[in-house]
Amino acid sequence: MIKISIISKNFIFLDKSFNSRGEAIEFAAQKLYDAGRITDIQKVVAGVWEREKEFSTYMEGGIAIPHCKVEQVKATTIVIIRNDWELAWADQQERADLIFLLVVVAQKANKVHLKILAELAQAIMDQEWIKGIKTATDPEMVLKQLEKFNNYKIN
Amino acid sequence: MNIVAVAACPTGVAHTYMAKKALEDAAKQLGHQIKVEAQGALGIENEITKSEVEAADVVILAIEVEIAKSYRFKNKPKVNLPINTVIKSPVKVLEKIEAKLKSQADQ
Repeated sequence: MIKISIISKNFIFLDKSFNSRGEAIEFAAQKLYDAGRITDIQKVVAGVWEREKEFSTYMEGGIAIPHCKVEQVKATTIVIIRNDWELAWADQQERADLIFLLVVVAQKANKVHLKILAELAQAIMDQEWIKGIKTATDPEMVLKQLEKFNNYKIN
Repeated sequence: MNIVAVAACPTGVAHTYMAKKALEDAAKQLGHQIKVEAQGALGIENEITKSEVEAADVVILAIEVEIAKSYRFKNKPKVNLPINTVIKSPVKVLEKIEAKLKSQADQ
Protein backbone atom coordinates (compact mmCIF):
# COMPACT_ATOMS: atom_id res chain seq x y z
CA MET A 1 0.00 0.00 0.00
CA ILE A 2 1.34 3.37 -0.98
CA LYS A 3 0.38 5.80 1.70
CA ILE A 4 2.24 8.98 1.00
CA SER A 5 0.42 11.49 -1.09
CA ILE A 6 1.16 12.90 -4.50
CA ILE A 7 3.26 15.59 -2.80
CA SER A 8 5.75 14.67 -0.11
CA LYS A 9 9.08 15.71 1.32
CA ASN A 10 10.51 12.40 0.11
CA PHE A 11 10.37 13.69 -3.45
CA ILE A 12 11.82 17.14 -2.94
CA PHE A 13 15.52 17.24 -3.75
CA LEU A 14 17.41 20.48 -3.21
CA ASP A 15 21.03 21.47 -3.79
CA LYS A 16 21.67 18.72 -6.31
CA SER A 17 24.63 18.74 -8.64
CA PHE A 18 23.55 16.84 -11.74
CA ASN A 19 25.39 17.45 -14.98
CA SER A 20 22.55 16.76 -17.39
CA ARG A 21 18.79 16.63 -17.44
CA GLY A 22 19.02 12.91 -18.15
CA GLU A 23 20.96 12.36 -14.96
CA ALA A 24 18.36 14.28 -12.98
CA ILE A 25 15.42 12.39 -14.47
CA GLU A 26 17.05 9.01 -13.99
CA PHE A 27 17.82 9.85 -10.39
CA ALA A 28 14.19 10.78 -9.80
CA ALA A 29 12.97 7.62 -11.53
CA GLN A 30 15.22 5.52 -9.30
CA LYS A 31 13.76 7.20 -6.19
CA LEU A 32 10.22 6.62 -7.46
CA TYR A 33 11.04 2.99 -8.14
CA ASP A 34 12.59 2.50 -4.69
CA ALA A 35 9.41 3.87 -3.14
CA GLY A 36 7.23 1.56 -5.23
CA ARG A 37 5.53 4.39 -7.08
CA ILE A 38 6.70 3.17 -10.50
CA THR A 39 7.41 -0.38 -11.59
CA ASP A 40 9.95 0.18 -14.36
CA ILE A 41 12.60 2.91 -14.41
CA GLN A 42 13.46 2.61 -18.09
CA LYS A 43 9.88 2.70 -19.34
CA VAL A 44 9.07 5.76 -17.29
CA VAL A 45 12.21 7.59 -18.42
CA ALA A 46 11.41 6.62 -22.01
CA GLY A 47 7.90 7.98 -21.50
CA VAL A 48 9.35 11.30 -20.41
CA TRP A 49 11.54 11.51 -23.54
CA GLU A 50 8.61 10.54 -25.74
CA ARG A 51 6.66 13.45 -24.34
CA GLU A 52 9.61 15.83 -24.78
CA LYS A 53 9.60 14.88 -28.46
CA GLU A 54 6.13 16.40 -28.88
CA PHE A 55 7.45 19.75 -27.67
CA SER A 56 9.90 20.78 -25.02
CA THR A 57 8.56 21.13 -21.49
CA TYR A 58 11.02 23.91 -20.76
CA MET A 59 9.37 27.07 -19.38
CA GLU A 60 10.67 30.59 -19.09
CA GLY A 61 12.59 31.33 -15.92
CA GLY A 62 14.81 28.26 -15.72
CA ILE A 63 11.98 25.83 -15.15
CA ALA A 64 11.15 22.53 -16.83
CA ILE A 65 8.17 20.28 -16.25
CA PRO A 66 8.99 16.93 -17.82
CA HIS A 67 6.17 14.44 -17.42
CA CYS A 68 4.69 11.18 -18.60
CA LYS A 69 1.55 9.14 -18.27
CA VAL A 70 2.44 5.48 -18.68
CA GLU A 71 1.13 2.22 -17.27
CA GLN A 72 4.30 1.65 -15.23
CA VAL A 73 3.27 4.51 -12.96
CA LYS A 74 1.46 3.12 -9.93
CA ALA A 75 1.02 6.35 -7.99
CA THR A 76 0.83 9.83 -9.45
CA THR A 77 3.69 11.84 -7.98
CA ILE A 78 5.26 15.27 -8.18
CA VAL A 79 9.06 15.24 -7.91
CA ILE A 80 10.95 18.48 -7.44
CA ILE A 81 14.64 18.78 -8.21
CA ARG A 82 16.57 21.96 -7.66
CA ASN A 83 20.02 21.81 -9.19
CA ASP A 84 22.87 24.08 -8.16
CA TRP A 85 23.36 25.14 -11.76
CA GLU A 86 21.26 25.24 -14.89
CA LEU A 87 21.05 22.20 -17.12
CA ALA A 88 20.58 22.35 -20.89
CA TRP A 89 17.06 21.28 -21.79
CA ALA A 90 15.98 20.73 -25.42
CA ASP A 91 18.86 22.90 -26.63
CA GLN A 92 21.57 25.13 -25.20
CA GLN A 93 19.23 28.13 -25.08
CA GLU A 94 16.87 26.32 -22.75
CA ARG A 95 18.53 26.12 -19.34
CA ALA A 96 16.69 24.89 -16.28
CA ASP A 97 17.72 24.56 -12.65
CA LEU A 98 14.26 23.86 -11.28
CA ILE A 99 12.61 20.66 -12.46
CA PHE A 100 9.08 19.53 -11.72
CA LEU A 101 8.82 15.92 -12.82
CA LEU A 102 5.26 14.65 -12.97
CA VAL A 103 4.54 10.96 -13.31
CA VAL A 104 0.88 10.23 -13.84
CA VAL A 105 -1.15 7.04 -13.63
CA ALA A 106 -2.32 6.17 -17.14
CA GLN A 107 -5.65 4.49 -16.45
CA LYS A 108 -8.29 5.83 -14.11
CA ALA A 109 -6.08 8.47 -12.61
CA ASN A 110 -7.41 9.92 -9.39
CA LYS A 111 -9.35 13.09 -10.19
CA VAL A 112 -8.13 14.88 -7.12
CA HIS A 113 -4.55 14.19 -8.19
CA LEU A 114 -5.21 15.48 -11.71
CA LYS A 115 -6.73 18.62 -10.25
CA ILE A 116 -3.64 19.14 -8.11
CA LEU A 117 -1.45 18.82 -11.22
CA ALA A 118 -3.61 21.32 -13.10
CA GLU A 119 -3.32 23.72 -10.20
CA LEU A 120 0.41 23.16 -9.96
CA ALA A 121 0.73 23.97 -13.67
CA GLN A 122 -0.96 27.30 -13.05
CA ALA A 123 1.09 28.01 -9.94
CA ILE A 124 4.28 27.45 -11.95
CA MET A 125 3.28 30.41 -14.12
CA ASP A 126 3.16 32.67 -11.09
CA GLN A 127 6.59 34.21 -10.58
CA GLU A 128 5.92 35.02 -6.94
CA TRP A 129 5.04 31.41 -6.23
CA ILE A 130 8.11 30.18 -8.09
CA LYS A 131 10.28 32.54 -6.09
CA GLY A 132 9.10 30.78 -2.95
CA ILE A 133 10.24 27.45 -4.37
CA LYS A 134 13.53 28.83 -5.64
CA THR A 135 14.47 30.49 -2.37
CA ALA A 136 13.26 27.80 0.04
CA THR A 137 16.09 26.62 2.25
CA ASP A 138 14.74 23.17 3.06
CA PRO A 139 12.20 20.64 1.73
CA GLU A 140 9.73 21.61 4.44
CA MET A 141 9.56 25.15 3.03
CA VAL A 142 9.10 23.83 -0.50
CA LEU A 143 6.30 21.61 0.72
CA LYS A 144 4.56 24.56 2.37
CA GLN A 145 4.78 26.55 -0.84
CA LEU A 146 3.56 23.58 -2.88
CA GLU A 147 0.51 23.20 -0.71
CA LYS A 148 -0.75 26.69 -1.53
CA PHE A 149 -2.82 25.12 -4.24
CA ASN A 150 -6.04 26.64 -3.02
CA ASN A 151 -4.98 29.90 -4.66
CA TYR A 152 -4.97 28.24 -8.05
CA LYS A 153 -8.39 26.68 -8.40
CA ILE A 154 -8.91 25.80 -12.02
CA ASN A 155 -12.51 26.91 -12.19
CA MET B 1 -13.02 41.16 -28.51
CA ASN B 2 -15.26 38.37 -27.42
CA ILE B 3 -13.15 35.23 -27.54
CA VAL B 4 -13.71 31.56 -26.98
CA ALA B 5 -10.71 29.26 -26.82
CA VAL B 6 -9.85 25.61 -26.36
CA ALA B 7 -6.60 24.38 -24.82
CA ALA B 8 -5.43 20.79 -25.19
CA CYS B 9 -1.95 19.25 -24.90
CA PRO B 10 -0.61 15.71 -25.50
CA THR B 11 -0.69 14.46 -21.90
CA GLY B 12 -3.43 16.74 -20.70
CA VAL B 13 -1.94 17.28 -17.27
CA ALA B 14 -0.01 20.53 -17.37
CA HIS B 15 0.17 22.68 -20.50
CA THR B 16 -3.58 22.60 -21.09
CA TYR B 17 -4.14 24.38 -17.81
CA MET B 18 -1.18 26.70 -18.26
CA ALA B 19 -2.56 27.87 -21.59
CA LYS B 20 -5.96 28.40 -20.02
CA LYS B 21 -4.52 30.63 -17.34
CA ALA B 22 -2.25 32.47 -19.78
CA LEU B 23 -5.16 33.34 -22.07
CA GLU B 24 -7.45 34.32 -19.22
CA ASP B 25 -4.84 36.59 -17.65
CA ALA B 26 -3.91 38.22 -20.96
CA ALA B 27 -7.55 38.83 -21.90
CA LYS B 28 -8.18 40.43 -18.54
CA GLN B 29 -5.13 42.65 -18.97
CA LEU B 30 -6.21 43.78 -22.44
CA GLY B 31 -9.88 44.12 -21.59
CA HIS B 32 -11.19 41.32 -23.75
CA GLN B 33 -13.90 38.89 -22.86
CA ILE B 34 -12.77 35.28 -22.98
CA LYS B 35 -13.90 31.79 -22.11
CA VAL B 36 -11.26 29.10 -22.23
CA GLU B 37 -12.29 25.48 -22.31
CA ALA B 38 -9.73 22.95 -21.11
CA GLN B 39 -9.70 19.53 -22.71
CA GLY B 40 -7.25 17.56 -20.62
CA ALA B 41 -6.95 14.49 -18.46
CA LEU B 42 -9.89 15.73 -16.43
CA GLY B 43 -12.11 15.71 -19.51
CA ILE B 44 -13.83 18.83 -20.77
CA GLU B 45 -13.84 21.65 -18.26
CA ASN B 46 -15.40 25.06 -18.51
CA GLU B 47 -17.22 23.87 -21.61
CA ILE B 48 -18.10 26.46 -24.22
CA THR B 49 -21.80 26.59 -25.01
CA LYS B 50 -23.43 27.00 -28.38
CA SER B 51 -24.57 30.52 -27.64
CA GLU B 52 -21.09 31.48 -26.48
CA VAL B 53 -19.68 30.28 -29.79
CA GLU B 54 -22.29 32.29 -31.65
CA ALA B 55 -21.48 35.44 -29.71
CA ALA B 56 -17.71 35.08 -30.13
CA ASP B 57 -15.70 37.15 -32.62
CA VAL B 58 -13.00 34.53 -32.85
CA VAL B 59 -12.11 31.00 -31.76
CA ILE B 60 -8.57 30.34 -30.55
CA LEU B 61 -7.45 26.74 -30.75
CA ALA B 62 -4.31 26.20 -28.67
CA ILE B 63 -4.31 22.49 -29.27
CA GLU B 64 -1.68 19.83 -29.89
CA VAL B 65 -4.10 16.94 -30.17
CA GLU B 66 -7.46 16.38 -31.80
CA ILE B 67 -10.20 17.79 -29.67
CA ALA B 68 -13.73 16.68 -28.93
CA LYS B 69 -16.70 18.61 -30.28
CA SER B 70 -14.73 20.65 -32.80
CA TYR B 71 -17.90 20.81 -34.94
CA ARG B 72 -19.08 23.58 -32.66
CA PHE B 73 -16.68 26.00 -34.32
CA LYS B 74 -17.68 25.36 -37.91
CA ASN B 75 -18.14 28.61 -39.82
CA LYS B 76 -16.39 30.68 -37.15
CA PRO B 77 -13.11 32.55 -37.66
CA LYS B 78 -10.49 30.33 -36.09
CA VAL B 79 -6.87 30.82 -35.12
CA ASN B 80 -4.74 27.73 -34.59
CA LEU B 81 -1.69 28.18 -32.40
CA PRO B 82 0.95 25.99 -30.79
CA ILE B 83 0.10 25.72 -27.11
CA ASN B 84 3.61 26.82 -26.13
CA THR B 85 3.20 30.09 -28.04
CA VAL B 86 0.05 30.84 -26.11
CA ILE B 87 1.77 30.09 -22.80
CA LYS B 88 4.88 32.11 -23.63
CA SER B 89 3.37 35.24 -25.16
CA PRO B 90 -0.39 35.35 -24.64
CA VAL B 91 -0.62 39.15 -24.79
CA LYS B 92 1.18 39.29 -28.12
CA VAL B 93 -1.07 36.53 -29.44
CA LEU B 94 -4.24 38.43 -28.53
CA GLU B 95 -2.89 41.71 -29.92
CA LYS B 96 -2.08 40.06 -33.23
CA ILE B 97 -5.49 38.46 -33.48
CA GLU B 98 -7.19 41.74 -32.72
CA ALA B 99 -5.16 43.55 -35.38
CA LYS B 100 -6.01 40.87 -37.91
CA LEU B 101 -9.72 41.01 -37.15
CA LYS B 102 -9.66 44.78 -37.43
CA SER B 103 -7.91 44.78 -40.78
CA GLN B 104 -10.42 42.25 -42.09
CA ALA B 105 -13.30 44.37 -40.88
CA ASP B 106 -11.86 47.41 -42.63
CA GLN B 107 -11.76 45.71 -45.99
